[in-house]
Amino acid sequence: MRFGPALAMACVAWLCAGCFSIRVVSGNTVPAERVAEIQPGVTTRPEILEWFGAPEDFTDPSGLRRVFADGVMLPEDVLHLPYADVLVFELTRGRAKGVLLLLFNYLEVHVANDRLVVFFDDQDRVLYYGYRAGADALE
Amino acid sequence: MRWSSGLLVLALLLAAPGCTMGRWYVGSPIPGNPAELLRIGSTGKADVLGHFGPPDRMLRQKSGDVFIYRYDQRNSSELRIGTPPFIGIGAYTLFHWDKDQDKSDRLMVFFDPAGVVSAFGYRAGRGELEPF
Repeated sequence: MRFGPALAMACVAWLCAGCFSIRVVSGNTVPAERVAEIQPGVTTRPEILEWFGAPEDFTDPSGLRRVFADGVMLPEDVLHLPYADVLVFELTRGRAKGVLLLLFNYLEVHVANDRLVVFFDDQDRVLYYGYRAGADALE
Repeated sequence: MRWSSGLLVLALLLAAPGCTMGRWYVGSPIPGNPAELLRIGSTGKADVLGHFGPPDRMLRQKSGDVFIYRYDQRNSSELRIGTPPFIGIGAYTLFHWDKDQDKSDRLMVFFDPAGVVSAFGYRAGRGELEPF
């Protein structure tokens, strides 16, 4: 009987415990195998658009992305104005997980991007490009 | 002893301490040491993109582009003493302590009109984060 209240508390604590895991994806996949085919001075803008589709500035941001951006959970936009000589392709991945206990809660949120930025010369050929597969770590 | 146990349960119901910790990571770590990889007057835009990948933000100035790289981390800690969260009606808080730290590793690279690094600044702000 002496352990009764402690046992009851332990049961309540166990029943109140919970955990969550949330994964969100926003944007279009940036195919890494195509990135390897980009050749500065050779690859043209139409080829880039054919391989990667519509770039960021010309896609309609999804509602999810707007919610994330307003909640300051996303990195800032790479470009606020369309630059004639730069195209940006991006996939954003978010992962949240946490433990909810009676007296202690812990949550962890990761947001990262796969991002490709391509610069063009005045002949519409790739001048240089940068690619990072940051979202892969969150899969 | 039965009374003291009951008293302990009652005390915890009236003033249970609750602790919440949060960690937020936005972006990707900045690879490498900019001081070793960047040379003013010689490193080109292609090299910067090769070393550090695409920037998180770009600015265009008359005197050349600016690349901004940023890896943000926010640590939050909260201690609250009051009624447990499952008590809705009549809930109260006796003590509330909250600490939020938002720091970032930031690299800003300035280019001249020819696309060569003219200046850069780097700060590893995440190193200043305290665990609690």
